[in-house]
Formats: sequence, structure tokens, C-alpha cells
Amino acid sequence: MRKVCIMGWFWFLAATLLLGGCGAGTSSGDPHKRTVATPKRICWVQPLKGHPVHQLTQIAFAEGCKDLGYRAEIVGTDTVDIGGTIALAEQMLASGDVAGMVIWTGNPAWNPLIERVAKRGIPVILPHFPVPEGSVPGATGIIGCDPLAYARETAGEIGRALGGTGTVAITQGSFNSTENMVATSFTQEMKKRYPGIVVLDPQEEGFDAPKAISKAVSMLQANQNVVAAFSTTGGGPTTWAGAQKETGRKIVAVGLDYTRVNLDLVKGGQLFAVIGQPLWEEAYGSVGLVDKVLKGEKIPWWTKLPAPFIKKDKVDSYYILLDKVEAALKR
Amino acid sequence: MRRLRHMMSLPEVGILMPLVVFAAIFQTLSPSFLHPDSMAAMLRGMAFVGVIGVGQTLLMVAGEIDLSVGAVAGLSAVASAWLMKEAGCPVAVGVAGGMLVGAAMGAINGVVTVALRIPAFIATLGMLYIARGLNYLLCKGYPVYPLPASLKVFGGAEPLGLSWAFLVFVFLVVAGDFMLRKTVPGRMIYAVGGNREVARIAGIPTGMVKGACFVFTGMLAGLAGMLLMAQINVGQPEIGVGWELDVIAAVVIGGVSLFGGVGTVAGTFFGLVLMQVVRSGLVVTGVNTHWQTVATGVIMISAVGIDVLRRRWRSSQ
Repeated sequence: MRKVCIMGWFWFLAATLLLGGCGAGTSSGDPHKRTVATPKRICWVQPLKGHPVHQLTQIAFAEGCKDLGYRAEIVGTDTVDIGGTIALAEQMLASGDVAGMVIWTGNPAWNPLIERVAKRGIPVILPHFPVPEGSVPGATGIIGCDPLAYARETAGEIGRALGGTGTVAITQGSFNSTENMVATSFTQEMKKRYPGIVVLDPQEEGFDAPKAISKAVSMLQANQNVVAAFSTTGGGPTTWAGAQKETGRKIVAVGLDYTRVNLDLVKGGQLFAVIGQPLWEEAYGSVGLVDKVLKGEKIPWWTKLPAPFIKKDKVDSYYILLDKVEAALKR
Repeated sequence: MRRLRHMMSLPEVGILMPLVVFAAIFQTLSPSFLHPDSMAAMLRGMAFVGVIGVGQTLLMVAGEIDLSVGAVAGLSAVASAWLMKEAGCPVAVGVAGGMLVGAAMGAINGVVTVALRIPAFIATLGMLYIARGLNYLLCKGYPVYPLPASLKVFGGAEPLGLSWAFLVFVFLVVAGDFMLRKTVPGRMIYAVGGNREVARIAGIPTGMVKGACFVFTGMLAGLAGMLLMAQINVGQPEIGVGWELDVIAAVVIGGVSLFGGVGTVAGTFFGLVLMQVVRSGLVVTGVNTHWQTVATGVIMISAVGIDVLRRRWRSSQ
């Protein structure tokens, strides 16, 4: 009897949590407003939707929709589940009132869905990933920075800071097409512009801070002549700041993304610079592109955005942007 | 010969042999490998998973397993950071809150497993998702930052050239190993894990023992998450992702049986050191980054294989 009672309470608790979750949904559409006027809906499709960087892009997208009079719908799973996210996107498509779709991908696994969406006459914009024109049948256009350009710029900046000599370590969050491309472009540019600088083969730092720091420490200890490091991921600044602290060595370290933690590391001098991928701008701008297409205007395949190299003297404006994001998040 | 046989009968020897062999190989290939700074960095790096490893060892010796430790570590860290930053609580309250969250998650695991008899594998797998979801609900996926300055000072301190996290880990290893080998509760854990029915007939409150192990493991998971939070000075929602596999690997490599009743905390310690030595050694010796992952897996299987051979040799004597 006692067990039945405990089981009963367990299921009651589970049901309450589920219902609570339903009530606390984050759907951007207001059901009361829908009955009065129904603005066109644009879907933002993105796996791992809870990731901080992804959330920043979702807020920017929602702001873009608000400013241009669209209803924003965030579609995605909490994990890197491509199949699950595609299924959710197809459900959205089946609802029949989607005016545009913005899909966070550079992965060919999405091509069949993109083609299906395009066949319905719905514009599809791909932010962030620089996929070549013609490689994604049905896609209307892409928006984002040119990773090759910021990789080249970083090589130039690090080379200048080192005075043309020394060894540079590279770490990647994982070996994916964009990060591989950035690492290769960085190495080639460094070889071309500063032949006196040796660039080590990229190492995978992963996404767990202690493991990543430990790996960076091993790299520094195995290569006593490493005087600079470039990480192609947003966790890289923490990794290399941690490794410098652990080894007591000061190096010229550069990583990605203007998160508050990373900006503080630049401001505090533990990091030479971060590369500001235009995450906000590309997500916000993707709505503008959908809007243009819906109005019959032509858009280029690649709407290129700059990715600034943010050194200590430039961090302040990014703090303001983050304040805006955090305020939106609290709302 | 008798001395050799006695030495070989020690459970930790099985893991010490490959540890010494691999350390010697890496040192030969790269003389900087066993440099004091390098060793200190390795030890610091394994402290977080190690803290949880102590609890997981007790739990697995008791015949259960907890797959939610990584997620609980993340939830506790974020809850603690949230209390300090958003609720304006003092650091002590934040830390106590984080520990309580860990203990509560462990207690729920214990109740679900022991009272409701849902297998620990499923119960704690479910808790993994629950804790991860609650973590994101609390911080909305965003790092909780900045944290109080005193926490940064604590996280950045290097007592004896190491870190507070590592010293806490060492204290827990010594205390845990002593408790398991030399105290009545420790013997109870072995008895429950070895044969639950016999332990019950002998008057041991088996449910209480298992439940306490779950609570202790949850609490240590919370502590590990908060130690990392203090070190990186951010309540990062990703804290603890994937730790459960590292913890279980270290515990099993260290000689703890997946079926319970066998193993020591010291063995887990050496299991962790072996994993860290392999990971760092492969980087230091310049092994291709893709081969590092393959080599890590092969070396882990080899380490356990050597231990299995040692046990067979011992039983044949």
C-alpha cells in the first residue's frame, strides 16, 4: 500500500511538472493576439536550442521579427539531435502558415528538408555557415561572416604581435567543416605572411573546461617555444587563460565569441583578443532577408558581415550589446 | 615469492602496473612529461571528476550506479551561482544551497531505486535529464556571471602549488578509503554490494546503506560542480557534461566491480591518474589528435585487461 502511495505521489509530481512546463512555455506567439490579427510566421530552426550562443541568436531573431512585424517561432531540440529537429521543422511546415524559414545549419543532412520547404515557395535562409552557392538545393541565401577572412586577419594580428617569430598552437572545439577551414586558412596565411612562425597541428580541446585546460597545459609543456595560441571555438578563451595560469606562462591568446566571460578575459589582459562572430547581426539580419524575398526583392547568395577582432580597447561596445541580450532574456 | 604473491594480491597493483609502464613510456618519449609543473597540472585537472569518483566508488561497491552525476554537478553549480548572483545570498549560503541540491538529487535517486525498485541505471538516467533540464530552466541556458570576488580568489588559489579542488579530492580519497576499509559503515557497503540478501539477514539495513551512498554521491557531484564553478568563476550550464562516463571509466579501471562488493577508493584514485596520464601523455608525445581518442580507448581496455590477468594469476596460485 505504501509503495502504491509513493508511486501515486511520484506520478502526481511528474504530471504537475509537465503541466507546469506547458504553462511556462516560451512560445513567442500570443494566443489572444492571434485571434485579432495573425502576422506571418517565420521559423528559426536550430538544434541544441538551450546553448547560450544559440539563445543569443534566437533573441536577435525574435527582435528582428518584432521589428519587421512577423511572428517568431523557435523550433529545435535541447540536444544536437538533427533528426529530432528536422521532424519538428516538418511539423511546423505541416501547419501551413509558415512564411519563411531560417535554418541554423551547414550540414548536408538538412538538404532534403530545405528542398521540401523551397518547393512550397517558402524562402529558406541559412545563417552563420558559409556554404557554397549551389551546394544546398532550394536555399535562398546565406548570411554571416567569412571565416576565412577572420582566420586570415587573426594570423596577421598574431604574427604582428609576435614580431614574425615563434610557435603558435591551434585548438578546435571539435573537428567540423567550419573550424577545420578556419584552422587551415589561419595556418596557410601565417605561412605566407610570417614564414618564421611555426604553426602546430590543431588539437581538439572539446567542450569540458577542465579537460580542455589540461590539454592546453600539456601542449604548452610539450612545446616550450609556444608563444601564441588560437582557438577556433567560444570556449577557447577560458581554455587558454586557464592554461596560462596553470603554467605561469604568458602567451598571445585569441579565441572566439564576445561572451561576457571572454570580454572580461580580454579586458583583464589574460587574452589578446576575441573574434566577434556577428551572431546577433546574422540572426537579426536573416529576418530582413526573408522579408525582402517575400516582398519580391532579390537578395545575393551571401550577405557578408564583418567579424571584428576585439582587443582590449574595443570591448566596451560589446558589453552594451550583452546588456541588451540579458535584458531580453530576463523579459 | 610470498612477498610477490602478497603484493600481487593487493587490488591496486593491477592498476599501478600499467600506470608505471605508461608513465615511463611517455617520459622516455617526452622528458618534460614528468616535470613537476606538468604533474601538478595533471593532478589539478582530474580533481573534479575525482571528487565524484569517491562517491561513485562507494555506490558501485554497494551494487548500484549513478549516471546522473555530471548533470547534478551542473545543476548544483548553476543553483549555487544563481543563489549568489541573482538571489544575492552570501557565498556560504550559495555553497550550502548547491550541496543541498546535490544531496536532494541523490536522495531522489535513492528513493526511486531502493523504495520503488526502479533499476538505478534507468532511475539515474532519468535524473540526468531532469537535472539537466532544471539547470537550463534556472539559468535559461546562460552562464551565471559574474560571481563574488571571494569565490574567484578561492578558485584561483594554489595551495602547495596545486588547487583547493585537488586538496579536497585528496582528503576525500583518504577519508573514503579509510571509511570503506576500516569502519563498520564501510564493511556494510561491501556486504550489501557482495550479497544483499545475506547482508539483510545479517541485520544490515541494506536500503539505508544504498540510500546513503546515493545521497553522498549526489552531494559530492554538487561539490565537484561548485569547485569547477569557483575555478572558472562562472556558473556555466555545461559544467559536468559527459562526466558520468569519465567517472565510471575511472572507477572500473580502478578495479571496482560493476556487480558490487569489490573495489577501493585508492583504486579509483589510481584509475583516474591512469586516465589523466594517458590523456596528457598522448598530447605531450605528439600523437596525432585523431589517434589520441583511439589510443585512449585501447589503453583503457588494456589496463583493465592487465588487471583481469593479474586476478587470474592470483587465483591460480
